[in-house]
This record gives sequence, C-alpha cells and structure tokens, in this order.
Amino acid sequence: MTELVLARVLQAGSILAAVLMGGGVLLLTFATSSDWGRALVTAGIAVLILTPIMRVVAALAVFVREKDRLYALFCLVVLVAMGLGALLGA
Amino acid sequence: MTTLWIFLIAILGGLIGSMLGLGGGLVIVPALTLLFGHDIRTAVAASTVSIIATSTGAAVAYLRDRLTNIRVAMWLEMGTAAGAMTGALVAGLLAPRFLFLLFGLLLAYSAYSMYQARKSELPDAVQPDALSRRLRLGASYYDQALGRQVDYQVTRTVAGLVLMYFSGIAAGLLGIGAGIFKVLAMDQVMKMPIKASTATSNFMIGVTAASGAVVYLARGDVEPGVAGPVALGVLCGALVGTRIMVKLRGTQIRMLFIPVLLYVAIQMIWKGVAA
Repeated sequence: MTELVLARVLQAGSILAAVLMGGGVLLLTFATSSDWGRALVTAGIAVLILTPIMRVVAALAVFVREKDRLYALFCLVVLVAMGLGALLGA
Repeated sequence: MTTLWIFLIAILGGLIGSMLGLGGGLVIVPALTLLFGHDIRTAVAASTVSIIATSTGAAVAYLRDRLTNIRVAMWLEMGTAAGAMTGALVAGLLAPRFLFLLFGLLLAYSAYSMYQARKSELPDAVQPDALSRRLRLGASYYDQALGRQVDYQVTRTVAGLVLMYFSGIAAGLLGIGAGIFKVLAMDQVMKMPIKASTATSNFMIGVTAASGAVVYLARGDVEPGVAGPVALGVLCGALVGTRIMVKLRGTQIRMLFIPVLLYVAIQMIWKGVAA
C-alpha cells in the first residue's frame, strides 16, 4: 500500500521531468535560439530534484495516516537533515 | 552529435546503476571529463542530478515488485542525511587523503568478503535483533529468478545506521559512494538479501543526492546542455535495468557488483596515495 503511493509520486515526478527535459533538449538541438531550451531543461531538472523530497513528504503523510508515530518522526528527521544539509552546502 | 553520445553513455550508466543500487557517477563523471572535456564542476553536478534520475526511474518498478524495503530505507536515511550534514560542517577540517585511504581500504575488504560469499543466494537463518523487531524491519518479496516468495529478517540495526552516518560524511566531503556503502551496509552488515539491498539502496540514493543537487542548481553548476541529456539517458537506462535485475539471481548480481567494488576501491586508494 505504502509502496504504491510512493511509486505513484515517483512516477509522476519522473514523467513530468522527462517531458520537460526531452522538450528542452530537442529545442537546444534544433532551435535557433537556446533560451527556451535551457529554461525547459532547467525546469525539468528542478522537478526531478524535488521528486525524492516529495517522496519523503508522501511517506510522512502515509505514516501519519497509519498513526505510525515512530516512522513519521524518522521522515521528519530526514526532511530536517536534508534542509540543513542544503543550507550548509550553500 | 555530442548530445547523442552523452545520452547513449548515460543509458549505460543508468543500466548499471539501477541494477546494482549505485548512482552511476562511476560512469558519468569520467565520461564527461575525459571523453567530452567538461570541467569537474559541471560533471559532478550532472552526475548528482543523474543519481536522482537513476533512483526515481528504478524505484517505481522496485516498489511495485516489493523489492524495496521502505522501513529500512527510512531508518538508514536518517544516518546518511545526518552524515551529509556533518560532512558539510567539517569540510576543510579533515584531510581528504586520509578519508580516501580509509574508505578505499574498507571497500577493498568488502570486495574480499563479498567474494567469499559469492555462492550464497540468500542469507540463511538471520536472527533479528531487538531493535529490528521493534522497527518491524523484516519483509518479504516475490523473487522472479527463484520463482518463490522470499521472507527475510534484518539484524545489526544500529551498526548499519552508524555505517550510513560515516558514508554520508564521505559522500558529503568527497562526493562519492552514494550507493556502494548503502548496498554494503544492508548486504554485509544487516544481512539482507542482495536484491532487496540493491533495490533499497536505489530508493535511498535519490534522497541523499537531493540536498547536494539543490545547492548545485542554485549555484548554477547544472549545465542544461549536459545535465539534460545525462538525466534523460539515465532514466531510460534505469527503466531497462530494473527489468533485467528482477530476473537475475542474487549470485549473478554479486558477480557484477564485486568488480565495480574493486574498481572503486582501487580508485579511492589511488587518490589517497597520489593526493
């Protein structure tokens, strides 16, 4: 059950990212101006990067709904550590 | 033309990465720097994006096949995420040379112990420790190669987390070992079946890479003309790789994993010696 919810989140993210990046790469290859191509690919990459983060959020939601407090806490710890990691890295 | 070649090499990276639970940076970084002359920043940024692509592309299939152990993944992700955070904090305080040597030797030893276990298809009679029982880490999946359901238990729960913490530091500091240490922690330390280990590693590496990828994207290191075709190729490779992996025996996956392990061990020890 949890598996299928998370699979759906990851699938939606990867399809959206692939469409944006695919369109962008085609524009970069064949269009005369590269601005739109670069913007589309960057948008696709941003979606791709957001997907695993959304996956942890979705897992958190599932564990909360199942009243599994311990695993919901694990998801929160991961989200906070990811956020701090990105801040420290920057 | 170059775009097409980058795309094709990325397919290979995604294929290997998705089957073995690794990021594919192994293939992507040397290909981009040595074959196409891109600088290391562009290559590492593209490779980090490609780790997320491998993870996302492969996880859909592995989740549906129940090969991914979500509970083990959430438990261990706390270790990697905290380690990556520590790595960012202590960057500059620790000599990379020492870390390369330490982790290189650890990998070389793992290659040896995995070679010794090369004939074992599934770990036998694993006794779960108290924490593993409390966290309900044991799971079960249908193995297409064996044609039967595999039930397994997980042990040495804390040791696995500690190893993940240190490998998270290494990943944060050296930009390596996204997947390799995860597979080893689950297979060698926690005694999970190798297929569940690689699938769960695959699931986790996207989360580990995401923090770094956000930073690279904000800094402008992600070059769309390079990272775009790389991510697309890796996604395609990962979709094919998962279809192959579920049909392989654990022993066959080990035989593919050991040479990769040795290669990375030698590369890291070399960096430690030559630095």
